[in-house]
Amino acid sequence: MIGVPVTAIFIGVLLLFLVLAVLTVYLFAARALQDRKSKRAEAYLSRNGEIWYRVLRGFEPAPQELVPNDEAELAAVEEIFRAYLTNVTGNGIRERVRAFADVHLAPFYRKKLKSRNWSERMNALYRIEDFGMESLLGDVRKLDRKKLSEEERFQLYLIELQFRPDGFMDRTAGRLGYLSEYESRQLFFLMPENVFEEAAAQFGELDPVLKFGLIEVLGMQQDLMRLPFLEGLLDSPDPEIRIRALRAIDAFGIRTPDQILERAFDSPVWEERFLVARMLRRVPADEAARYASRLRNDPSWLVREEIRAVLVRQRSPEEKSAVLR
Amino acid sequence: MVPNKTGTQAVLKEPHIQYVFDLLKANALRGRRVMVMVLIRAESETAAETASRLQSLVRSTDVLFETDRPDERGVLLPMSGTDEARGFLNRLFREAGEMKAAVLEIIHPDTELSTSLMRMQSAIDSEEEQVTVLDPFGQRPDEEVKVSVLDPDPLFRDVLGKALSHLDTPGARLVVKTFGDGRSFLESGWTASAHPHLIVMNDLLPRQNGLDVLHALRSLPNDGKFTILMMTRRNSEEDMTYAYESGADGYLIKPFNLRLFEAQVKRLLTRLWS
Repeated sequence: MIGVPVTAIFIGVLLLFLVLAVLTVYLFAARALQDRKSKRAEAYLSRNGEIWYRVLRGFEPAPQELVPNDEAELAAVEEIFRAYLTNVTGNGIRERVRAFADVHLAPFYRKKLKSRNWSERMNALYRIEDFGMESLLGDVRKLDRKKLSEEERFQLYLIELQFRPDGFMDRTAGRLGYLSEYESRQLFFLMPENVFEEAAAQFGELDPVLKFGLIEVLGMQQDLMRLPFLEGLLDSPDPEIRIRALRAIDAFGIRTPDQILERAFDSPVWEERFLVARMLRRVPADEAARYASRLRNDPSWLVREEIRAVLVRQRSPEEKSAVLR
Repeated sequence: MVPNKTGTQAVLKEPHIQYVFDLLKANALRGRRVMVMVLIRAESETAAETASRLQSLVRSTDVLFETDRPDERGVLLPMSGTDEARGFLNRLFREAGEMKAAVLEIIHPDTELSTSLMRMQSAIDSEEEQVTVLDPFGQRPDEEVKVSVLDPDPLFRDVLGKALSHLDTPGARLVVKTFGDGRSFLESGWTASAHPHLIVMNDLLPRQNGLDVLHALRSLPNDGKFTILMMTRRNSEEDMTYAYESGADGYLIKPFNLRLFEAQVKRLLTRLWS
């Protein structure tokens, strides 16, 4: 049995209490600080809500009293801008937010960009994008040279795209390979038309994740002018590209051209045959039946099921029950 | 006195016309409509001839009456304005030739029959014009319109409240209230009113959803008083169709243009006086 002196236990307990006391004091102090900050923000909102309304509607210029003096007031201004930018548009509201933020809020965010705290830097990057603070582009670019998280880097690209869209793909395409598919789609969604064209022209050199993102965004946009581009991708040697292109074409919701159907029917890749079987839903009944007969004995169960579903949908009610039996 | 019946339309006399005038005026103004009174003086034919001619032109809802002058006949055209009165006189003049006439729109509840008749008679006496359109008595009284803004975001609620409070709406006095959730709105007692009520409501609300509130409002006995604009972030045709089928009067897709919103509200309020 290990003998522990009573004094040691007593000192241990005392230390534990001391740590707990310090932690309690810290929590209370932090809470009090937070409450004080919230009260200051609320006071700012109730004091200036009406003035902000008139300023953002363009009825009067922004007076000096609207400039935030501390972090609490900055948080209040951020809330006001968020409420306007996410709910209303037009009549220069965005431009007024941009002009005010560029002049009066930029110093706060410049400081936050240099913070060692990741969440502070990240929040600053989000606000720079939301409020369109172009004056901070130089500071953001300086940040690019440092070691950053993937989230920060993606945010940097969004800011770069917003303020300097021309030549965006040339400058950044080689460094976008780490993006997730979601981020890649988001990037293409936010791209102005000319940058998107630029990206489509460089399709062959893009990283796979960018290729997939671009194809999916094309499907979501449902722009018929882009259909020939997607059709061209069906010649790709990469089956993943072909599958995604077919899925994007399917998302257009139109009757798929015969040559696309013909080509995919004979594909050795079951996903392509499955997608083309799904496309038969938008083909006239007699043609669908003719195509379906070619896939009725497909080795893939999913393809056979899809073909069966197409045939059931196109038969009369009496025949339907016969097939289901 | 029993109304003097000639043909199918009664020609009312005092004191019946006083009673009918007050009744029609109250009815028209309560429905935020106007009524017009036409006084015709036919010096070249008898009162009976004029009455007979008018009977063939008036609607079954219009009222013919006599004045203290034997060569005068009056017509009350409820739910009509000056344009309808002019049309009526044109039809009359085509049949009977030109006569002297005066037209007065009744837009204020304090307009009195005897005073109006005296004004019209003196206008016919003094004016050289064939038809004199008199300025109506008083201003059209402002209608109190309740406005409710329902949105979970307090700042945006405040923005919409301010936009509506600053809106210049002639003929309507807006009383704006904002609510953060559906249940507090329905339980506030603010909906139990005969005033016109404009509701600008987000489709997603805490405690009671916007579409539930819409159903609840449309099942109230005064549902005809509500004009409901739904706000949504989901630009989905299905949701919109469902909301319209459930009784929404308009849809705003967030983010929306604040000026466009104000114009829509103004247009809706103008229709109150149509």
